[in-house]
Amino acid sequence: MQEGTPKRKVHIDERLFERIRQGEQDAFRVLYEISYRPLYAFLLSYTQNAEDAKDLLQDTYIQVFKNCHMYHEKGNPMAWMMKIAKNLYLMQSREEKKAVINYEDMKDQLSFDNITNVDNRIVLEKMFELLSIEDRNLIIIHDIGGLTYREIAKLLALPLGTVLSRYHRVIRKLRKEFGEKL
Amino acid sequence: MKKREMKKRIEDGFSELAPDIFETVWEAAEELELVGFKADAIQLADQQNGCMAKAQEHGGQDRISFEFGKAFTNRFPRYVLSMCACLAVICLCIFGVRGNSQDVVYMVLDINPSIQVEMNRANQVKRLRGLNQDGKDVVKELKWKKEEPVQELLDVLLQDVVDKSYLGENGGILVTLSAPDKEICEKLEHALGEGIDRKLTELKVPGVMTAFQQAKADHAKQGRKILEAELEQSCGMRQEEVEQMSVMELIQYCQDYTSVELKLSEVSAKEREAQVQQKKEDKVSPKTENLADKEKDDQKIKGQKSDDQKQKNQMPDDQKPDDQKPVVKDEPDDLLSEEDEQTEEPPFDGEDSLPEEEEQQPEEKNLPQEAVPGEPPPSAGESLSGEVVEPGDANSQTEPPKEGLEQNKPDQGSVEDEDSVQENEPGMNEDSQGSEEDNAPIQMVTPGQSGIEKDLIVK
Repeated sequence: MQEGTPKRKVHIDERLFERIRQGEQDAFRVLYEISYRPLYAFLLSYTQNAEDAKDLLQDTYIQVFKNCHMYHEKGNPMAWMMKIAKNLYLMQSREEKKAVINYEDMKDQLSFDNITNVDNRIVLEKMFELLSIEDRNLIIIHDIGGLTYREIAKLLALPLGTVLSRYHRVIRKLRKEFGEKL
Repeated sequence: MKKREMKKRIEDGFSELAPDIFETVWEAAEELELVGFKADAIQLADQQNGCMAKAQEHGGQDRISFEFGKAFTNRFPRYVLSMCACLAVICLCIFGVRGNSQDVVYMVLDINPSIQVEMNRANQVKRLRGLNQDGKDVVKELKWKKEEPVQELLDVLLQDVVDKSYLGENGGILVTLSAPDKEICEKLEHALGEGIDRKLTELKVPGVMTAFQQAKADHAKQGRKILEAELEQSCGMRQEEVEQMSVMELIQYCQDYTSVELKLSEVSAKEREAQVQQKKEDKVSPKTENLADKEKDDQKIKGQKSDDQKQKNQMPDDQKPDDQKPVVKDEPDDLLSEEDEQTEEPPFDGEDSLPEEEEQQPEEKNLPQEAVPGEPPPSAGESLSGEVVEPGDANSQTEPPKEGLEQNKPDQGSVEDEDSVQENEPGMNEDSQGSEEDNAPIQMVTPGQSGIEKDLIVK
């Protein structure tokens, strides 16, 4: 990490891409370990389907591997990977003509049974139940992916003010919900 | 629940949900030969990084991009590109205009008025321009449409010109064409000639001579100016004289005395042939008849001429035909040829008779002369074909040439001039006149004659 850069929640060393370009499997493994959880959460939020999210995650890493030489050391690598994931999702949605997925339709396919911790499972269930896709994405991108508000605004093509206000509203909403029940 | 705790639970929940599919991804990458792709990818990346580095050197840090278009704009500053674009536009304008100008066909109509017609290859009129004041007036009042066929314009124009009495019987139309291609001119000549003949027949304007000539587009002179210049050069005529000539005269003079290529329309050509034929007949008949009937006619002619002479002597000098005007004594000597100068007699002493040559000359001068192309135009009293025209002949279509013509023809008419000089030579006695009486019908009283001589002539 370069000196003077802010400490991120998910930090990806940009030299990893150089090593991946040279075909180092370990470097790719490191990158995967750091980034696959936020990316999966992001894709699951979009697709609301574990299998689709898994497929898209695989495609995302293939694209990252293929295009790692295209990455230039400017900005957050996590933001770049999330952009790839989002574009892949939109492409798939366009192809399948199901850009807007109704949660009710996907309800049966989305299962949080794998989560052993009951509180964690309840939180995720409530999150997917109460929040819209955009609101969920804000929480995931910021709190799991570690992107700044500015990076979120750029990724989701939203004004910075909108991102800020919407994020805090979503947090208040969740706290209100979980404060009563948990 | 605290905010931090809530975030922790969300993160943990997704961590449990997220599958570890690294092996699957790696295998997929290997299947797609992405691992082998690396070498090419590295090479490509190096190239692009090189581009980026150069771009950074040029100060385009905010415009770093791997896209070709942007790299292009980084390499070539915008002002250079805009300059190139401006140059391209200017070149297009210049060559576009020049390209169009090559396709333009110009036609100059001289009637008078003189009008320039600009048209395209399809013979559609683009512009009209009056070359003289009459032309400007006609163009101003003419009703024509842009891009209408030139034939229609000609119909309207001829109608207008005839209505305004610019063109009448025995008029002339000179059409000068200049086109990039000679074939275009020839086709136009044919089409326009037919059109003009048809329209003139419609308008019942006979005897109009329509002539076509071709000129280069970049020629400094257009229309009748070309013919005027040719006449000035080859015949030595003065500019003022040439400018005063009608179009008909210009055409006829140029056909007879210059090497200018003039093409006549069908009707005009026929008329011209008929005229030439008639002249030939006129030339042949006097020769044969003169020899046989000369003696018989002489007496009649004498009587007629003596009557005419009396009448003409009473006329002022300006109204007399040129060949009967009194010859001024100090006429320049260069009018006489060298031979004539050798045989030129000294001032008349009252006793010598005329030499034999002079006695034979009157017969020769009555014979018609053939017009030879390249020779200077005939003097006053002669037709265009060189025939001697009787003084006061009403059928002579053309005006007698101007003074300049006489000055520039030292050979022609030298015998006549000498003859007339001899006839009017002061000091010539009665006997000599009496011997020349048949051949010198004109007896003029010149200022140099003595009182006795005047009395004799009157008697």
